[in-house]
Amino acid sequence: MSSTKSIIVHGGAGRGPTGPTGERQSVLDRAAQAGMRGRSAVDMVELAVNVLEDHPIFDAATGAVLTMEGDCELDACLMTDDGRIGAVAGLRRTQYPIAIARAVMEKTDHHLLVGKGATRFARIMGHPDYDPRTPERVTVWNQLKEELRRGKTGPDFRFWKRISKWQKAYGLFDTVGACAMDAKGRFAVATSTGGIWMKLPGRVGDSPIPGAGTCANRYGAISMTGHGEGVMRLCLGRHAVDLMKRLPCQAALDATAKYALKHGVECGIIGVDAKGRLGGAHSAKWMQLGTAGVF
Amino acid sequence: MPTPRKTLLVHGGCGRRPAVLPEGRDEALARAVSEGLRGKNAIDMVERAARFLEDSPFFNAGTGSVLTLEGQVEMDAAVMTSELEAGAVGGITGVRHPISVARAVMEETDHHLLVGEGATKFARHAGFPVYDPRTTARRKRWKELIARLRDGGEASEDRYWKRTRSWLERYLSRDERGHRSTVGAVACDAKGRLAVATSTGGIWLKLPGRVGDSPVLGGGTYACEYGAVSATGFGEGILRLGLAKFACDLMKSLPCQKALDRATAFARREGVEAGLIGVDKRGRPGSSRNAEWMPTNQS
Repeated sequence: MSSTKSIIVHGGAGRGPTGPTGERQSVLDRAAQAGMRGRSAVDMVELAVNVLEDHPIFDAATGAVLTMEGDCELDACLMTDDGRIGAVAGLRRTQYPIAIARAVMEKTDHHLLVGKGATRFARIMGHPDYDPRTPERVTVWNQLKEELRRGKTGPDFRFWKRISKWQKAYGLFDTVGACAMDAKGRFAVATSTGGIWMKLPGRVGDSPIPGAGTCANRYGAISMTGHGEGVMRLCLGRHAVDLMKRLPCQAALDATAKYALKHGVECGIIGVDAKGRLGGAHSAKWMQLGTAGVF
Repeated sequence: MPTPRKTLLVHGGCGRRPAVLPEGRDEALARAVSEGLRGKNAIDMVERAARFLEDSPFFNAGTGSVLTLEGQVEMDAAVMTSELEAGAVGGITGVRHPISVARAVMEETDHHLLVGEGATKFARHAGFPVYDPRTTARRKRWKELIARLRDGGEASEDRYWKRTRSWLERYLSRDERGHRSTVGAVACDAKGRLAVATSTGGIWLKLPGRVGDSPVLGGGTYACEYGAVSATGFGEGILRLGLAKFACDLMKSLPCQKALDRATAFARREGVEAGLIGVDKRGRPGSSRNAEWMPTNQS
């Protein structure tokens, strides 16, 4: 079997007011191109995700959305076909969360580091302090906070049902991710996100959870975006790669999106299977993808 | 379909059988079951059982949790029901009953998983008081392990943890892991509702912030319409394989015990030491392990 070096990237899915845009598409294309410069599949997905982490329109690293307290808490995960995993959750003040996830994979005995421990690890690994908050996000945060106040709910933990309502209104699932196969036929996946607007401090969604928003095994690899809690409790990532055991990538992803919809979970998913076939599917209104490769 | 029977099953970790079993350890598991049986539904049952085990210093959960490389306690816990309601905490500090905080996440937030300082802060807002779960025995052991590492020895004979020493000086600019005693409970109530709870302090000398399989839905804890499963063992491996989800999926077509046996055999093939307890939708309990020893108790 001849392997084809290829990559697919996503920058979220949703039903937000903006819809698909040309700007978003051009950044996704650029990220896919950047990924093609990597040699190994791990390099490829990391390079692609770096581009998206740097761009402020996406909800990952620079441009990440803010928590109830106005901070950025970043989640990222990297996974390979041979079962190597690195992930961070609730990481703060770091420019490239996916690089920290990779360091967890390569330098520690662990798979997942969270909170203060993750940030500390990033510093020890030589990644300097960096504030990922953009002026645009701070403005929106102030508006949301005002709405909360006017709603007389106050910053109290009993009224979170309201917050999910706003999230629907804003429709922002702008998590980023990449799946790639290298010239040797190895494949990997990376996902990076700032989570959701006004999340409780410490909230972690599907992205850094192996088997939820990021998953790889010998049959394939996937990266997801969407309603993180729903993706987590259904273990949709695991569901998709298990299907790739007997289905081609696109069919497995379509089936997963359908299964998600049946359970009322809005999400988007991209993937690559062991034969290097790429695919994308969603149960939202739209999802934009970028691809590149030697097809 | 036959009426489901009220069932409760608990585990206290898996690993090598200790040469000397601390007195009272087995009794603690038995008492956790009788305590759990007082719960009126599945979620109450597993929470009660897990709380009891968290309070027991014999187990690596709540009071008696093992310490991180820095000598702190960071705990992970999760609850989940067959209705796919779920709550979990990772890396929480300074609380007595992480499992109850996990339940509060499930019942009072839109989220499933809170980690780190955010989880601790949530616990305070939800009314959980400050509590130090470190026991004298664990502090003493921590000192011994650190000293052994500093002398160039291994903190663990376990093949899974080989990079600890390389981090020692970087984290401590100023260990035993043989037996893993995470605790877990699964239950089926009289109405056929299932629930699972898993609680742990993680592993000795873990890097601060390390989270294993226990609080990860589908990793060490999972429940769905077919069954509920709590896992213990090599956390990173169980997480990678998604073992609890794997076992629950098998219960779609297999009885509980067969599904668990197949899951632990799969884990063994993948080089992952693991123990599982589970209950299926008919209330049939089961437990399986590929490790030498896994203490359990059931109603």
